[in-house]
Amino acid sequence: MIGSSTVTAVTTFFTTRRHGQAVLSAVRVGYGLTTALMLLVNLPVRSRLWGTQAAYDWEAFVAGSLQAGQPSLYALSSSAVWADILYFGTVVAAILFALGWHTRVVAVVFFVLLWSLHVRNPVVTNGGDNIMRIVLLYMIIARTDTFWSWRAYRGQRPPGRLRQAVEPYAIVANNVALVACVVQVCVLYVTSGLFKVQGRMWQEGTALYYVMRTADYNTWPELTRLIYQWPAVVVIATYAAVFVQVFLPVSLLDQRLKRVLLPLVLGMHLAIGLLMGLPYFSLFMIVTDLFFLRDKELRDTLAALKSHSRRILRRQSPEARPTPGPATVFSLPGGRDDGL
Amino acid sequence: MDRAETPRGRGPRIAAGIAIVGLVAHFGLTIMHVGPISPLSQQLAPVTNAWINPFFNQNWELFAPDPVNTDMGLLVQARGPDVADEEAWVDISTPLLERKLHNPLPDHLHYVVTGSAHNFVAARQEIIDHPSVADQFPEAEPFAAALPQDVLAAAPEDLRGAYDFTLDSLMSTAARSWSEQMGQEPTEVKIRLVTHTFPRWSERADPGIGEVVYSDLPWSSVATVGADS
Repeated sequence: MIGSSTVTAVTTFFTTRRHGQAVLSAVRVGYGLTTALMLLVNLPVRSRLWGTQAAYDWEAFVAGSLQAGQPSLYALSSSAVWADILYFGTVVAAILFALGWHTRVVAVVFFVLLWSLHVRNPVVTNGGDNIMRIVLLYMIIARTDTFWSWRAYRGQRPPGRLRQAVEPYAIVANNVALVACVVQVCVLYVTSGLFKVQGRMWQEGTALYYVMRTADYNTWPELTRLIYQWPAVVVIATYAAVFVQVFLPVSLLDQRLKRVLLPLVLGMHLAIGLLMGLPYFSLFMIVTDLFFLRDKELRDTLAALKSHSRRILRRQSPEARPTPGPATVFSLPGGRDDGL
Repeated sequence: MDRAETPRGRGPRIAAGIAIVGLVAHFGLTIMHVGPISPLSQQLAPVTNAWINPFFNQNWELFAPDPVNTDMGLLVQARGPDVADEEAWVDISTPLLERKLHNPLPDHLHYVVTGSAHNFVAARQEIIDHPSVADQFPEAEPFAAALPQDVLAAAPEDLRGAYDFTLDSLMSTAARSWSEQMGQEPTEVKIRLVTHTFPRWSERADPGIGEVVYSDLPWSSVATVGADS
């Protein structure tokens, strides 16, 4: 049934080189920065979220986490100082993870601290935190600091004998982790889409109206009121959300489908982040969606964005460049605009 | 680069083979864990639970099968030597929602109150819906917000535990928010759960706010809040 050429192709994929190095590096930076942002925004209220004033009193939390078999460093002491040490430790770990400094060790520390934080107060976590901490677990056995990291900046040291011996297995581990991340994200989307298909409000095409009117998620009532005046907008957006989620995994097999679905899912997550007051969920999901890109696609996209934003900056501030060079001439309005 | 593209020796290939089997098993169990209950998922439940919990625990019923479509608010009354007005119902939800309104980078504080309320209501509903409770109280009137003792007694222990846990957390959350808002220390609090069913789709243009239902929890001493865990 499975030919020997398939077996060779699969073993070649897993054993010859590390795949997804740009994607894994970008996800590392995105997860680290988003976590740091989320934690710093919550700095003034941290004691009510994860400290002595948290939703679950410390004794109740310890009993509950023991019973559920969920270890947490917050269970070691009830003191405010200890909670603060863990909180600030998580901020530092998130930033170091984004910087790619001693990435493997930092990734483990970051996971342990983040897990402990999530267990301390499950009331304030959502699907974004859930997918992020599971993907983070897989990322521990991948190499995530090939690009945009302290390691890349400093340059590689020649590998020692032990590292050379382990290298072929480290390659396998990286590729297994990458496949696990991609499959995990597919599980998320298909499950989430299929559960929605079963709901009456999603079938009727009105689900997004209810989401937009719920006080918890209605950050811009003036704006959402305008949006839900239009049945076509609500129904099409509701159906689109379900279809995009169910079919997004198929885009891994079809480039044309990907060019349609990936921008749609990006738009969906931006709308959730902006309209529903869920910016951290939105950022975690957008970063996680990068797993649908191949390295080359990600790098091409980044290059295109970079040249595009340079052009826009030049257009907006002509006085910044009193003597335009040849490159600027091309980017003047009416000049070349081919996305390169 | 030529050397790098050559498949490696036997060791890494065996490792890759084992890893692929591991991936299939892991995601097989993950799908059993996140998907609906099936004969297969029931049969595999012990293995699934042992493998998935706690670190691979996940739930992707995001806004499904139906999205949240009611608002839940809390009004709190407080007693104590330090409390100026023991009759006043203080709205602790609206100030939190106002912090979030028009704020592109809101903090998580509002989740503490709404999340605690939703968790309590969900734990309460799970007891009411449990077959052993539903069998024993088929024609019962709608239960009070705090479930009567005989109803609780009919429920399995883990559901009762979750109910007590979420109730304690709701009480202590309410007491803290009240005290932060009023700058006074209560010794007892009473919670009024406000369930707001805003206009349904067909009434979306109505100027009215929809339907509001109040249900009260009994007075609870703040000193004992969370202590009996």
